[in-house]
Amino acid sequence: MHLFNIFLKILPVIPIIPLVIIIANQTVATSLFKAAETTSFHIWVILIGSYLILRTGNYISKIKWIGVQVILEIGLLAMPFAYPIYIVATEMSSVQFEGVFLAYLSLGFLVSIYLLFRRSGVGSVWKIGAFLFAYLFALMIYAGSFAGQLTGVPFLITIAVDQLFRVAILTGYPAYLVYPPSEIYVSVSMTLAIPAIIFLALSAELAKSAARIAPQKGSTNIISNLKPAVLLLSLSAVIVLALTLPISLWVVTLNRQLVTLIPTISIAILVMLLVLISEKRDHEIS
Amino acid sequence: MKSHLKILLSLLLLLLLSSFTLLPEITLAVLAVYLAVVLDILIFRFTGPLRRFTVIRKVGRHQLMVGENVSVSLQVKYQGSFPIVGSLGFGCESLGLDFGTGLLAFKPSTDNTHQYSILAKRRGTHIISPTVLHIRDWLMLSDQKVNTTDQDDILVLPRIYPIRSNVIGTLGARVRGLTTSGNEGRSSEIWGMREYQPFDEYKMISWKSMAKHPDQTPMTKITVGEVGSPVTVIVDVGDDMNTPNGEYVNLDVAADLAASICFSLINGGTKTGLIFYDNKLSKVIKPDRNANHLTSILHHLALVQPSSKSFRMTNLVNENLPTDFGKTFILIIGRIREGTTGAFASALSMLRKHHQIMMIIVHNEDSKTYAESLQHASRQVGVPTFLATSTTIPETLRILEQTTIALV
Repeated sequence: MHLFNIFLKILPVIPIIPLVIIIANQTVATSLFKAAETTSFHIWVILIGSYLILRTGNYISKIKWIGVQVILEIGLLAMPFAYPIYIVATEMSSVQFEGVFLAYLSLGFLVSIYLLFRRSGVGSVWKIGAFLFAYLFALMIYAGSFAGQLTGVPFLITIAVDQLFRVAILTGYPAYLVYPPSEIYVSVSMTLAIPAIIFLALSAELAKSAARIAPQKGSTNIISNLKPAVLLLSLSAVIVLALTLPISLWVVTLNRQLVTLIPTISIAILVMLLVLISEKRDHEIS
Repeated sequence: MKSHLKILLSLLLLLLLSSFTLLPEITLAVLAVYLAVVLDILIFRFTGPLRRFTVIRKVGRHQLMVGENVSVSLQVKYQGSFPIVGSLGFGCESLGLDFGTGLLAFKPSTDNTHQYSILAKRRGTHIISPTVLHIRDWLMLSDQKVNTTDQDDILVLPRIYPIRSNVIGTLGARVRGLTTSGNEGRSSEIWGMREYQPFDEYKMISWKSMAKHPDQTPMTKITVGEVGSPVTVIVDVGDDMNTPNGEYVNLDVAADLAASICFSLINGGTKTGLIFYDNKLSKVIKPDRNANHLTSILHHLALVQPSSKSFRMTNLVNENLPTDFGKTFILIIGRIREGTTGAFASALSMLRKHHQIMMIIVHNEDSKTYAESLQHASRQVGVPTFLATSTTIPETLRILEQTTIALV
């Protein structure tokens, strides 16, 4: 049991491996160092640092007037863009602006990683959402940095944003798709990360439900009793994922771009229908 | 919207977002979590874990007295293949009780037993609701409920306070000179034994039984046909009896008093009747003295409820009760809304012309002054009158006993 607890503690590390492979390389490091040299980045650090200090110390919520709270929060979060926008307008240089954008993406990435490790108050949606956004932020950081270095700037926003709306290429939009570095290692580590993130998300959902339903004593005992069931669910989900394989193989022969759309959405809708049918059946029985 | 559907929809939105990125790995990760949640819900729905439970509820006894406890045990057997979380609960609305096991993890092929104790705070029939089994899926997102046992009824009888002597039973006979007629039916055949009580004849004491008794308590012979003058307890069941009195209402106090008096009289071999009265006869139980009769009286006292009409002494005076009901009436009434105390006393004096009357007025703090003025007025017309509240029942009975001894 002790080993199992250690395993649970280190479990969030597994989904982070592919993210680290994407982000921990010389391309991203160079971009970050270049961006860190700009004045806008320094302003960003001061303002966002102040925001984080105020937020963690609950100082903002102590202000009497809600209007002032809102203005202060928005001000501290958005103000770092003021100076770069001024520079863009006066000097026609977007370097500072892109540096701040990179800083925001990096912060988003770190917050997502923090949510993956956080144990209380985060359910399955937050866990998998954090993993999804951490992956997207990592890819955007890498893509922006990669494209930026090709064009001689620290970071290129347009290419970073292209990664977020890859589906636009299906409509003919000329998006520039950047594939993760060491793609084969990312894919291999993702095969380990997927079961880990399922178990992590389900455990988080169970802990959240237990805290909601049985906030007093006994919830820890209930969670530990249900851990084998959660493990079984995780393995079953991985097995059920195999259902998408034949459809995916067939779709790939038609159009490679549709492989994430048709099999997943069709299966998701199918199982959602099953849930709704069971819901109706349950309602009729009761 | 139900919580599990909310989560599924949120995951579906995330899945759409990840699908639009055209990144297969991350899309598979989101899809896997979505499928795991769906599997959890579908397994819960289609495997029917509720059918794997057997719940047996045992209620210690179905008849008890106010202030006593009844034990309730719940035995739960779960014969599923995987652990499941759930809770069991039942309640008794009329007693304001709600019991629950709290959230438990039921492991396969295990038995759980839970013990509860219900304090019978109020007389009457109380329904213990069916035991509801409430189980949740593994992620505790959706739930199912089912009644696993039938409801149980418990009958809570009024509390009986001890009165040692049967002096009340002898009151009518002694005072009104009815001794001879009251004991006319006595024969030499011994019907049974009871403890000696003051004013028992010395020749009826069984000295042998006394010698055999571990504590050498004097015992009195009860002979076949030994009948004292019947005593009838008249209980006011008018709307005044619904007035709160401590934790109870006036009628609860009156029921305890009536039960204690009837129990003492019947155990002492006195034929005892019971009448519920508001502005007319509501229930009439003719005097008798056997054990079944006592049970019947206690049941009626347990179940009686206040009516919507007011008690009227003037109406009671005009009732033509047959001679079966005897000459001794014990009136237990609540706060009276009949005008002046003089009018009440006048009606009472009319009743007293033909009957030996004793009266207990049940009151609360609000009606104490009025009850005292009534007590004063009725004492002036020669009716021994006592006051009672929910907290002074034993004391009232003791004073009643002492006063009766003095009268005899």
